[in-house]
Amino acid sequence: MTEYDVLVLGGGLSGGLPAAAYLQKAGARVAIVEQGVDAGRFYLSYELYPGVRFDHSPVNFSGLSPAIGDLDLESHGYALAPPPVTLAAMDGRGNSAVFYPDMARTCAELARYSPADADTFGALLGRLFAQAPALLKAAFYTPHPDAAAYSEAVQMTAEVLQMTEADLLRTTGPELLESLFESDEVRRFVTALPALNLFGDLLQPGQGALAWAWSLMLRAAVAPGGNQSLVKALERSFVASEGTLLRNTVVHDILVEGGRCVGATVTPFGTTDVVTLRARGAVISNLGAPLTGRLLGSHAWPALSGWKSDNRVLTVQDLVLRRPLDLPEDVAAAPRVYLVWDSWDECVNWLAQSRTDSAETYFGDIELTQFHRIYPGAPNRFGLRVRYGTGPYIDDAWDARKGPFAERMRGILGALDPELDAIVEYEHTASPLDFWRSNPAATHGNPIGGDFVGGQWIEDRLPYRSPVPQLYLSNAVWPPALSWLAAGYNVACVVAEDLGIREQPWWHHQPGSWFAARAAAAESA
Amino acid sequence: MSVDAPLEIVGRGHQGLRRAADLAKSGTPVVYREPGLRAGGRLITESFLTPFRFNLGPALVHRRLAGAVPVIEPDLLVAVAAWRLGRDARPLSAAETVAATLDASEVDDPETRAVLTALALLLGIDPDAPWSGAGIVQGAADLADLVLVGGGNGSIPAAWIDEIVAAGGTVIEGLSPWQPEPPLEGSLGTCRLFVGVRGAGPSLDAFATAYGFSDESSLLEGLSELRHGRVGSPLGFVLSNAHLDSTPTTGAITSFVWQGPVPSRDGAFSRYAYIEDVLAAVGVDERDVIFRLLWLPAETREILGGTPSYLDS
Repeated sequence: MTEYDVLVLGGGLSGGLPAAAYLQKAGARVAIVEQGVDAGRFYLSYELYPGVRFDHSPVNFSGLSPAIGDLDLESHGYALAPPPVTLAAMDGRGNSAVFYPDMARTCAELARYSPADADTFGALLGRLFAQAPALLKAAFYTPHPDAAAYSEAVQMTAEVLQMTEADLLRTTGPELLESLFESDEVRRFVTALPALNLFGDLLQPGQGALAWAWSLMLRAAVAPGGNQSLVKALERSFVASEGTLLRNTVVHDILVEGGRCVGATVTPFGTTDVVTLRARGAVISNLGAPLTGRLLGSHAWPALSGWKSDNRVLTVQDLVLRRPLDLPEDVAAAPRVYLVWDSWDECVNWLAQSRTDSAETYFGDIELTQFHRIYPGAPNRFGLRVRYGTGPYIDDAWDARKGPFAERMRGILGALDPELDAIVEYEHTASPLDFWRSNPAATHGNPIGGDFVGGQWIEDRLPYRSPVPQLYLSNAVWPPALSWLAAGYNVACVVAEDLGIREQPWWHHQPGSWFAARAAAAESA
Repeated sequence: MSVDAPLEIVGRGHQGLRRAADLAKSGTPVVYREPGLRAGGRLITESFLTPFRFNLGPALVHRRLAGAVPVIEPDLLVAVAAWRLGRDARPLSAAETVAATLDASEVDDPETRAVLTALALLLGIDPDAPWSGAGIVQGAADLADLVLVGGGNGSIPAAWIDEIVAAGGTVIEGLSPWQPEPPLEGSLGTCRLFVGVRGAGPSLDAFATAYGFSDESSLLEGLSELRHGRVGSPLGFVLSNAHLDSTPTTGAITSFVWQGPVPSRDGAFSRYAYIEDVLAAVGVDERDVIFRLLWLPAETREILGGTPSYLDS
């Protein structure tokens, strides 16, 4: 038997891994139980062909996280840079817009469709970024449910949107967009990202408007060492602080004695040994609600067994091409390109349809990631990721569905580039079922890790402090898993408070401070 | 007080990483820079956005590499037709080629000759190469020490990196521009086909099972055909991945790696026809395949670097 202060079950990027790194650095003796060789399985990078790098999750929002500064991740090999181009959106009618980190350039793009909309968008983002650190803190870097912080976030967002709180809480995403923008194109282009896979249902009153506005705060950056370098830096920060990372180890049971959570039994991969690990202060489960409930036993926290994430899923196709996809010149420079609806009415209809199990939903909003724009590599091969969703396909028929979906997508891409078939060197499709097979925490949830939230808004998520003393959650909580490490940060705050180790001289960075530091440096230069 | 500048080590392969770990543990400040995506060279384990784990390099490793990482010791290593090779082998006397070595060592039994020749191929040794005799002597001597790593070979470099970091060193991966390896010389190279399937996959009783030949002469004839650019039916091994797939969460799925020689003149080679032939040879229904990825010899070399052998320690 081995004893620690804190036992972290599952080293996911968003939850378990940063939580462990924070708590170990704060002085607790922490062990991570990780089933994989590496932690952060859904944020690793890989090569399908020499010099052609892909990421499991192609977007990097880590620049928003206080962890970069708090955990000194740059000293552990983590490099991050702003991309020259953020993303592009284009429809089937030849309309497109490119979004840049430089707001003036983005506004110039939108002004092609409506100068008034461009002004509105620029002014809105100006107000939003002025509020961003406090708003990020209240909305995401707070261990919700927290009524006061939520109220504060709503108030700040209402100010940004220049509407009353009461009106904001009555407004859906489309209603907000129709009130802000006159141009059909602008409405669609600024909806492409939040519609696909972010953290709210755009058609819900209040939730929809907030989810759309908050998605504008998700500023992407590029990690030249591959997105996995974030995982590696967190692992190394943890190990450098003398944390224990138990790789290739599977959790059997979560132990409850005398009504308190006291540890877990585990088995190292490839053996039949059952080892008991005890935790003096806390057990953090990053395993998702259903699996945590199963390992805990239904008597301990009955709500877990009935808890079910909303049903949004993604399908992913990776292609190795002999040349880049033939896209319009300005769009081709973007690392991510969204193929969107041809009209605003189509967009709104699609949002409604995405709540059904219609296969058509999948082909309404398509995200292309041009990895060669992120990682220049082999000169003769080019990595392209195609992601599409959503739809509540919670079933086991994905093996049969995968082939026809891939064919359909080839047809869509072929319409963009008639030589597509001749330039595909390799193709692999990963279905939601494949992701579910990979990640017990993502069972019937979002493939990028953790449970997803569509119809479950902030106050409906599970609490970081569970009803079982000394058991904490870093998954199925708010916010959902993304690469900004918010869930792990929040659970670390909660556990550190309970252990009396929260006050640390290094634990003070604000959300978005990496971007703020770069902006300040650029201004002084 | 003076502070020594850290020792910079630029690696490509596992030996440099091991050396860096030793230096770090002995108190030398170390910065290890890996030009490739991930440190560990041929000991990397990869999932490729799938539910499976694949060892990219050798399937069997010498136990001295594993160190404290838990290992599995398979009883049956290699199967050729009805013949089996366990962990015992008689000492051999080296001659130029594998066949000459077997002759010089008075290995007359055709079953033993076939399975030792197959072992050479499995270990990345071309049985006709002039240095192959020394290779199989070493391979046979090491049989008792060839092991599997339970969570995948990647556990080994991961442990070494943890040692470096725990000793205060730094490991930086993936930040260098991509550099191609020199082209592969010679007429044969080893390809690797990574396959993930629903259900049980090929039925195996040995860790590595040979396909496409049944004895020493048919193996050598097959290699000769390959040298002339004629692929025919695939020749190679199914490497069981059961020790990597046995988690309670993955359900009824399994994976395996096909390792086999193909002509390195890739232009004359149909990637997809070869995959179809391999799947047919090992009895896997294509409809059950969740994932397939074939690296031709040049690609295998580009990603893994070095010679395709477990012996490069």
